[in-house]
Amino acid sequence: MVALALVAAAVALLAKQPRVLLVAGVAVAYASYPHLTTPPDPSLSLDRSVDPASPAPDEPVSVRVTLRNDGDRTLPDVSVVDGVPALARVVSGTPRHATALRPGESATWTYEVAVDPGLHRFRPATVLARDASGGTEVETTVDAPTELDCPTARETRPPLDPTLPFPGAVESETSGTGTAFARLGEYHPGDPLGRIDWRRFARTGDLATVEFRERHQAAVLVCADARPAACRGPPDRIHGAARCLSGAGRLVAALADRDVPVGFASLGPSLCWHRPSRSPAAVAATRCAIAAHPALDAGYPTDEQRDEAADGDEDGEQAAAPREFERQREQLRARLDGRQLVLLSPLCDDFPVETAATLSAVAPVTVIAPDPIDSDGAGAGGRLAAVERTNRIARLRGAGVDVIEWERDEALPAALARSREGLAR
Amino acid sequence: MNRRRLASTLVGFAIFLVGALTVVLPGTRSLIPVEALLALAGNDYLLVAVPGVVAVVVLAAVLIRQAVTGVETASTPPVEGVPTGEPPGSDLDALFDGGPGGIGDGSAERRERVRRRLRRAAIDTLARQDGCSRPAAAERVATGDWTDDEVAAATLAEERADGGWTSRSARGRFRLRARRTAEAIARLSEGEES
Repeated sequence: MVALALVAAAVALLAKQPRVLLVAGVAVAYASYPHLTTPPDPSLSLDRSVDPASPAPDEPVSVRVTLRNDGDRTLPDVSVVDGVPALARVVSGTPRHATALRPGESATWTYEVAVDPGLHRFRPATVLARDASGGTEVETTVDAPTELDCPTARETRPPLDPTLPFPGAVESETSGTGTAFARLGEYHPGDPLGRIDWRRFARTGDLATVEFRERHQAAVLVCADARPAACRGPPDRIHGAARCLSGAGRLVAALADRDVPVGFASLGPSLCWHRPSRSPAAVAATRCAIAAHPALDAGYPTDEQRDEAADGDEDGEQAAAPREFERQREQLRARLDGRQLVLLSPLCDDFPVETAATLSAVAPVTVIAPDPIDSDGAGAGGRLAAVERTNRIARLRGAGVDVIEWERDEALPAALARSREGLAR
Repeated sequence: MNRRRLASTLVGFAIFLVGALTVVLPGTRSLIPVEALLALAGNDYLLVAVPGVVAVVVLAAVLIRQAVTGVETASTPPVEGVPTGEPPGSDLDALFDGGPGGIGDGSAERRERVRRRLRRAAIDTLARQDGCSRPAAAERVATGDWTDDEVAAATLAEERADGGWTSRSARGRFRLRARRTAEAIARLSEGEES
């Protein structure tokens, strides 16, 4: 464009045609302007405050964001998108803002989000800075670590007794000897005299034995299926991998609350691993890792990651799992070391079935399976996928693995409570 | 700036400098074969008008393109929504519905893979619903003794009268047969088949 305009200008000069020279001059100015302005070099800082920082589930949280130009040049056109936590819902206002910032000037805007129980971490804000002509654009991110900690409900009890049958420090679900009262049990001849409820005997004449919670060793590993195959779900609803991560975060918090050493792993592009620990710092780091897990990003999985993770058969035939996932399964098996495993997976393919069945040979395994299928509006393919998933659950149960079905619109505590009721019956 | 733009800009500047030089130093005009060019063009108006018109047309095209398509800018991440994905089974629905990538366009090998997937689902579902062993379920699927739907039964049966799924006529029918089979398996899972 510039070249053409310059040619026209040169010819106009040669031929002494002022009108053509004028037209060429306009064209030259128009085409050259973006190249004459220097590209923006934004130096920005972001401040974010949330109120309240520990909201109740679905309680609106006010987010106040301030973006400041710390550089010495004016930024004539700045567009900002705040890094809303992946599982938060924007309920009022917008996290987007556009403005111009002189040196030292700042812009502030507010919006509201709502979250479910768990730790939610804000991601870096994305900033697009353009020069005055709009011809040059610079993209950058500005981080201001901010977290929302929506307390996990007390009813989010672990889906299984998290203790191992060896003497230890954690109160188990098993009644027997111990210090914490569990229940009054039926008297059996030979029960220690010190454990007989004599007051009850004096009042009613019935003998009963006091049972205590036994203290056992405990360690639980919570593992989320974050492979591309798990990133499936009903239209416009959170996908299976994200539900697994959300549930994993709640379980880690609930187990840590019971003073149980808890760790976290996720299967995905690479194995994420946090060794079981009851240290508050380690638990906090584990919860942060879950909240910032890459599978919660909108761009995951990329086409490349999906291709790499595909089993080589787009029609879903059960072929061998990619070598990377087999390697991760072996790593998990080596590190499990007898700890109990809670595997969260939507069971969209056979890999988690094989994983749970394999690992159940070396440790107790429970599978929590969020339902990723909306059967109501599904076509023949969707209904067949639902049948295949039901078959996988049946195969797991047939292999002796406990499976807790986490329905589509159900809260995790409700699914766990339903499971406990089912086990009690 | 890419190399092509840089080269064209340099050429433009070079020509512009030559033009400017002829104004500042009139003596250099004799070095440029202006007369020959005028003779070639016919008259001086044409010589000026052609590049001028080209410049104006290109300028107008750029302006119109920017007005219609807008300026290309970086896209910002969709932070307002939750992470979502394709529904399970959407790949099969796309296959059943035909069109690009549908079964009708696929290879015989691909159709056979779909059939094997359907067959496995039928066997697993039959074993689960009837409490029989997988070999027994496989035998019933092979003989067609798992559904009242004759089309579905024939699709998964080992013996087929039409000589397989490679013939043109079989290929045309397979999409419908596969869908009927998937629906029969879903009914079997719900206990509507015997």
